[in-house]
Amino acid sequence: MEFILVGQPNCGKSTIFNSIVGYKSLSSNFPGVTVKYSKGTICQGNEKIDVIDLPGTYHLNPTDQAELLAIKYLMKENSERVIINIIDSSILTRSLELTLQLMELNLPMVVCLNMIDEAHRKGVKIYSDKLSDILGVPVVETVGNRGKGIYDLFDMAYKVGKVNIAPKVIKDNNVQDLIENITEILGTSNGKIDKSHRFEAIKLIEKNSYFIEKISKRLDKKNLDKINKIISTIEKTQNNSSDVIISEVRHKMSFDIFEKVTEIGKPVKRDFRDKLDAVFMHPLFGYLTMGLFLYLIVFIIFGIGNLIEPFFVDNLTNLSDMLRLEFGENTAAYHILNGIIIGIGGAIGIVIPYLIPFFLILSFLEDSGYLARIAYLADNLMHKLGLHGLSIVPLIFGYGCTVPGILAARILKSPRDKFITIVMTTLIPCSAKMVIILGLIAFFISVEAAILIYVFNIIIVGIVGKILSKINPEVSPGLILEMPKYQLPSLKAILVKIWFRLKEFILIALPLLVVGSVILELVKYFDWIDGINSFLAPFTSVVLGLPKEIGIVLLFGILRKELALLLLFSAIGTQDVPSVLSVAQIFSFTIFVTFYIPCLATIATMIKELNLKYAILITVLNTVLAAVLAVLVRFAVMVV
Amino acid sequence: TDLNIKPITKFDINDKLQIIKINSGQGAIRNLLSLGIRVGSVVIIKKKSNLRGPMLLNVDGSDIAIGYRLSEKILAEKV
Repeated sequence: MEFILVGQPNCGKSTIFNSIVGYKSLSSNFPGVTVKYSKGTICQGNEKIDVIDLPGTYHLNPTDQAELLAIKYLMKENSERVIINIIDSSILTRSLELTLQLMELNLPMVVCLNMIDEAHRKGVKIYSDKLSDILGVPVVETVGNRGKGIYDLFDMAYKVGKVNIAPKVIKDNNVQDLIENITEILGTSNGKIDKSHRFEAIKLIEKNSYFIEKISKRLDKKNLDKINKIISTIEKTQNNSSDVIISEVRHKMSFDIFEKVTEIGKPVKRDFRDKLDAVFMHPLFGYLTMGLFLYLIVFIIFGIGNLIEPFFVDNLTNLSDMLRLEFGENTAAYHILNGIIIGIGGAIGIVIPYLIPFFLILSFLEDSGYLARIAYLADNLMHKLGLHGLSIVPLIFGYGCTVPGILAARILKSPRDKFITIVMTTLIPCSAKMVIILGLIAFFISVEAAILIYVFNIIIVGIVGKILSKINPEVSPGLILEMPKYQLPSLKAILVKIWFRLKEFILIALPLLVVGSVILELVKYFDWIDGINSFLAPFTSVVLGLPKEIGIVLLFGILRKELALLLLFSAIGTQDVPSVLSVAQIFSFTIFVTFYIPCLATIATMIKELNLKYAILITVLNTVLAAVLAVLVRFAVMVV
Repeated sequence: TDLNIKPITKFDINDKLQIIKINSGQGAIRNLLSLGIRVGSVVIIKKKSNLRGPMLLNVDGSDIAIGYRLSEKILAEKV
């Protein structure tokens, strides 16, 4: 049997999913695309049941790829499946519009009145038995973030799946003839009418392009013309587009049901959450608090990371020393084992200090509802780059570490916005790059120059974003975003999310880091350093104008950027950089390292979040950009 | 034709409006419909941001942010 969770965004669907399926869930891609859904298995009545968490959707008339895939999934022929429709009880009318559309699928279904406490707080009493009578499906009340009623919900879904009763067909006189006439044409042309024809008829009335195309292929011209004529007739008589007509009908039906099943009393009381937006979305204080929060977040991720990281680095150095004593410095065994340790250390050095605090904060921002406020506040700024407000979040996180930045891009719905934002995020100087900027520019040249590099970086990131937006013009109409109610997130749901995301990262990054480190250790073992330096010399010396010994530094820097500074010291044989490199050379090196190939962990994350092709494309683009900028800056400095 | 009908961007915070027309593409109309923003629905302007930022509307008890360019295409009158 299969349970499919469907609901509008912010209805608390994922919290329910995470609390029942827990750490065993997996994120899957719809075939061929990067749209994700979560899947897990539970045991109910001695039976293994797949639970699917489809992306939140407001309606079943898809306007983007994610919604289309969700509908295709729902329409798949499969014997035993139950729809669990999760509803935010505090906005019942609007939520019921989706419920009515789901009922048109004619599958066994349970309605879950989630956040029932919110409805009570608003003074709305819902008689769930009356609602159940009208819809012809069981209705269960839950409070997802406190775990109330969830087991009853899944128990009920199991029972419904066993008896396999489909919901009632609720008819409305305004469109009933319309739907039936089209259903009949679709059915008779296909031999006999079955339940899918009614659903298809409704999609045709909704002017859904996917279904129009699908049915046009199947139907002959005569029948198609008949259907078009029926639709255009009603459009003329009602002087409205047929998709709007049917939506109006559903809206009215939902409102009627709402009136029948609820009793409106006085709101219990206003609590502090009603006042939060007065500050958080204020034209001035909103930005101040957002700035403060984001600063604190980067500071925390940074602070904790820098505090814990040396612990791992020290222990690794000790381990590496032990290995050297055991096997001897110039043995292949030492270099391979050392490579493995460096690789594992690299992964742990990112996961524990940076990713755990980051995921904790990101999950909290998401589940509490604050993320939507950030999107609102930053929309204006990001719009100038052709993006939407939410894109600012990955960029901000990118200052801490690029990996969480890229992972944060998952909150963006459109693949275009996601791609552009990820490219921009890879160009933001992360904390490791900051070490280089501070250690070289601020230390040897001036603090002002270091600030200048950051400003220069922001300008370049903005230009890159603008160019990419121009190349991929926006198709979406702009921001339409519901502000979810502030919620205290459920600890369990957050912990599950953190575990889930860490697992994904480790699975892809760890092998890459280990293999990369072993290769670089082997380079040392076979003493290929001079060879590589000579090979890179045309680039290092001619393009970047640096001593050729630095070639290997650039290569190793891909592994972990913070190594670049230490390697630079050892390559040029001194910590007194200005004694070897000119000011122009220091700038050239810093600019190149700031913009060039992202670190291995970043590349791994890009493969996971986008795909291999895009990861390579971004890597190449960044390197070319870095080289061009390094040359420009070097000559600019020389002229000045 | 009616002078009282204006894009919602031209109204003030706390104004209660009835939507008269939505001049945007099909996709946006569908998304707005499913959030309860349709011809005839009554909305309250909760916030307007400076410099052509998004607007915040209250519709049936939920707050919906709408980008400036789209807001300009939504015509309404005061009720």
